[in-house]
Amino acid sequence: MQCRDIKLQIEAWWDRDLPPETAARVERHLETCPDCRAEYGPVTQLLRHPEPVAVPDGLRDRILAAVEPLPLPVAGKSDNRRHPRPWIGFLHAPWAGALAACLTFAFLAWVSSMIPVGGSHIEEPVVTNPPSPLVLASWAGALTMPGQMGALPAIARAAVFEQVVQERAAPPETFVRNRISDQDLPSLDATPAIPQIPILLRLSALGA
Amino acid sequence: MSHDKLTDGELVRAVLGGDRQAFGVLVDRHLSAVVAVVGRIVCNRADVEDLAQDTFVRAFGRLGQYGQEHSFRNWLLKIATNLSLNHLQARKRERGRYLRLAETRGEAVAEVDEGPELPSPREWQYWLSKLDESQRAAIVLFHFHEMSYAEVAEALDAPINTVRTYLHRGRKRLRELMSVRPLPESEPCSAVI
Repeated sequence: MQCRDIKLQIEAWWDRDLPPETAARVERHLETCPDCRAEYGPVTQLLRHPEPVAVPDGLRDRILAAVEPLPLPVAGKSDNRRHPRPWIGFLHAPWAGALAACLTFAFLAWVSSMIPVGGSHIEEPVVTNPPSPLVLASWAGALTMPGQMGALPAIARAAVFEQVVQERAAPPETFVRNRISDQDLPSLDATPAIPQIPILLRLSALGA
Repeated sequence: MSHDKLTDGELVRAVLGGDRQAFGVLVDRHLSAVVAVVGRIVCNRADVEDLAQDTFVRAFGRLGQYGQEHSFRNWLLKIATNLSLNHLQARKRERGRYLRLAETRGEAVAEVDEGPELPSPREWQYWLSKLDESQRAAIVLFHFHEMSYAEVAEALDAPINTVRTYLHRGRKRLRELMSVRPLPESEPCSAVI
């Protein structure tokens, strides 16, 4: 066996992947070749002949003393003390679902309270009314994330739909009339541009 | 029947049946392996004793979960490896917090918080302490305790190919380090741990 063979096979030898005959040849070569021994010998010595480790005095007795007060283990059960996670324990409580539903309802109610009541936006220039949160949410769901609206509860989807209908109920001439009558307004396109939608609003609209 | 003639699996069943002395026999059989794994991974004499004790205490509490199809020794060494790696991670986080605190206070970082108590460079453990923790654990389990790839992978909760990578990179790093400062062959290594 040549030195170049050792270079190719040393990793496999360390990995114990070589057949016994080849491994024996590698070992013999390392014993006899000073160059290869200088290159691979120290690591091989480290890997194959680790120093024995001394057990601290009295450790066995301390271990048994620590185990003594523990209850006897039961087959098929763990003491479950490895990862105590009391902070998520409430998720398993029977009332956790009701609490989540209440919080969701309260949040939706709060969002709905932010919507202006009535059709006053029809009389005012459309562009001066910033889109309501639900409209933004509906655009977020319907325009930027198609297919994700299914994540909303049915009642929320109905509210969103209703609000979108109201917002868009204004006939196209409303935009035109307002543009003509109010010359101070900046120029407008027939379709208002979709504003930047805050990410939190998107997430809340999608029920995330 | 004497406990000494029982297999590990039979001893585990005996403990589950209420025989606490059987656990003492398991400790006798595997204490040196546990101490070796912990000591070689943690590279800190002060923590070895606590971690070895924790390993057995935890193993006792989970004895009911031990699957008889696995080697008890490897199951125990897996617990020891996990505890050691978690310990190193915790110490690293603690060190990071200390450094950030010292930085905000404008204090100089004291050298006493260096963490691992490193052996002398003459000792082989010095080289192990220079490796990444995962590489070190893989080398300790695969080479020093002759586990298979699958067993190391299970102990480290990593895919087998990742274990191969750990081993390859660890050995490469060792070769680089030892080519600069070779391990002295003439002097026996002093006792480790």
